[in-house]
Amino acid sequence: MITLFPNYSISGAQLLLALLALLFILYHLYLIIKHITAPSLFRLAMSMTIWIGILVTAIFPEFTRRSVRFAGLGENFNTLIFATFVIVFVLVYWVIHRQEAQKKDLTEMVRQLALRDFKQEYGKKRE
Amino acid sequence: MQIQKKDCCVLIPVYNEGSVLADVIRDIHEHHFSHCLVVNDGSTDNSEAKARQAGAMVITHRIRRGKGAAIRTGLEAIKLLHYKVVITMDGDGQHVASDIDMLLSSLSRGYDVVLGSRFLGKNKIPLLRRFYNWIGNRLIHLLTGISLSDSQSGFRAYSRNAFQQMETYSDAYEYDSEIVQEIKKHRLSYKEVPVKVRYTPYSLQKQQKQSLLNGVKTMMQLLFSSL
Repeated sequence: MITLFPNYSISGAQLLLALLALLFILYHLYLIIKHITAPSLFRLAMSMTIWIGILVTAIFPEFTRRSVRFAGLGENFNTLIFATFVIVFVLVYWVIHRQEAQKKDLTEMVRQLALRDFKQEYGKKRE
Repeated sequence: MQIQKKDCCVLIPVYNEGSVLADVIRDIHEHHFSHCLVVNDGSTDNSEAKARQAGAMVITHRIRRGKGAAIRTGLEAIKLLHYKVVITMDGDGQHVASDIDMLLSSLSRGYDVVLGSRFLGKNKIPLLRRFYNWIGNRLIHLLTGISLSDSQSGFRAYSRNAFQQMETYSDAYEYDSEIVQEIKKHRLSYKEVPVKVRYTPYSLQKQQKQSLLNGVKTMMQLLFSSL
């Protein structure tokens, strides 16, 4: 156990997770400040919510229990975990679906460009 | 139905096959098939130049979109040129142009699609490749009810009736399997004929890159598309 504040200790795994989250938050901020990336406000808010959530949960696990009680789930923490899994699964499915759709669009664009060039070059040869 | 060679177009999708492509096209021309369409799928080597020098028509994808997308583009181009028969071959030199006559002879007997099979002839095929193909065949049989000895062969001949009806969506190697689904969907008549295959160190090296991972991807795509 590592003492973080007087009368407050956390395990090594918790500290590692907190440091990882902090690293990602600082890295994201660095990229934005240096104008290396320019995420939309929505994406930034999502990303920050997730990493700050991980940071807070890692350092103060009690926070999640209080949130669960506040949300009316009582002590049924497993329900929250299960619901999170379902949400993550749906999000991943949605992202894959979007990516596949974009790949199809790209293919169609490449094909149409190729066919346009082909028509110009060979269109009248067999007529 | 009598098929004349001038009504046939050999379609070859290629990606970086510059070192062997000229020989493949020459082999086709030597067997009196003068119409050859190469779909250059975003090659970064000299495939396009080699194909043009060898006397083939060329259509080019500016970026690589996969074998399935390349064949789809090629078929669309062939429809524009009013050919009656399309023969698809791989660009790595593993197929032998002398077998085209055998495919056409079955097609002339009224079949819509003739599929070349490496496993009906006396070919020395690596064991692992046989195993992958066996899995593919079983899966295709499960999904379509069509039993083939070589569901992954790229050496095929299509009548105009077939290639005008077929509508595929796959971009990558699952295209070969999707065609079998189209045969079932449109109730096209089909036949498998034995073809020779030349596994050179070059073609084997290329196939290793597309083996297991692509097999799994193909399987997943087929399962999802049949849901």
